[in-house]
Amino acid sequence: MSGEGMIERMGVFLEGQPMLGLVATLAVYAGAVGLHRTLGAPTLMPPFALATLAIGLALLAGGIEYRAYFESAEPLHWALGPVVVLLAVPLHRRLGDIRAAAGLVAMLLAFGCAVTLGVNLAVGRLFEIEPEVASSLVARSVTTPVAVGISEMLGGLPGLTALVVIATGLVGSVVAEPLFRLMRVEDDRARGFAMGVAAHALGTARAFQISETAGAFASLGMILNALATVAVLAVGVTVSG
Amino acid sequence: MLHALARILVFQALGDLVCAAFSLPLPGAAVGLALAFGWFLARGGPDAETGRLFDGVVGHLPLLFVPAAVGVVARPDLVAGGWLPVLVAVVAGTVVTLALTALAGAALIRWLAPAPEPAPRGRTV
Repeated sequence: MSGEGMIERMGVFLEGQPMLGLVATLAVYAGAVGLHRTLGAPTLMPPFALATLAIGLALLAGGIEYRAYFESAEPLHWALGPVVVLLAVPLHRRLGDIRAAAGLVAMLLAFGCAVTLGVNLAVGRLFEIEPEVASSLVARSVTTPVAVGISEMLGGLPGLTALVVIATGLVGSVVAEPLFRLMRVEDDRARGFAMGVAAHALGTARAFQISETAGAFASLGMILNALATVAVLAVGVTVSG
Repeated sequence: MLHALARILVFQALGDLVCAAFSLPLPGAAVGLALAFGWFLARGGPDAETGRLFDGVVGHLPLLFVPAAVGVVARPDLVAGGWLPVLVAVVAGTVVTLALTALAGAALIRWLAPAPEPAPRGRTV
């Protein structure tokens, strides 16, 4: 039997197996956690990034449609909704810290939101990206449903926006810890908030692996940055007519 | 555990309803989070069961993003189709944003509220 024929059959098999993508994702992730530990826990290779890379390459090698995989692994994606609601738990637990840092949070939100929007606009210019593609980049630091809404408002491409949002989260959550160590940012409030502002929910998920304080401040950064970005862009669009 | 999960799902469903009713440009789960937070404030904190539910999932939250993130790896057509500069822009932009925000945060903390010594961490880095 030729290798290609077998791979093709695997693709067909996957399409008929609604659970296979889910089971494979869990198995690969569990394997990645083990590998990560064996390698001495390198921060530049978190388990979920290793798993993402392995599954992505397997799909490419096997010629399996991404959509078929995604539909089969979608229960994990659905679980994100309840998990976002559950973020109320660490936010309430760290309420004292957050109240104490209210001034910091307000200033850092204004700064972070301005920086993300500024960088996203500048990057479009710098890399000479077409206008509708550049519009898809503007809101890439906020969580997907919000970013897609903003992108549509600015005449961007929703599909591309969803992709650059998740790419942003992936990059942000992988580089954050090594970057903070390099820059000697040691305060978990500053670390977490930056991760939530720059890399939305994926950065927030990663921040909880640093500490609950980092996670709570990341949740706060993600939520406030999404609200601030919507507000700033809504005003901007209205003013510029 | 079942009660806590049911309550969380109810908050999410209510969030979806609120977003649909007022056509808010927000995910329903975000409004659900606000509702759950309000509930916790009113009751003086999350019940033990909900706390345990969160503690049970918090260690591996990034796992839930794997299906969506695989789309970045498994779509070579995007790079072949001239999206390479876009991906470069995303990487560069994210690093710059993250670095500037974290540095500003650290500077503001030094200026506003000098932190107590950072708590010892559970794992060596």
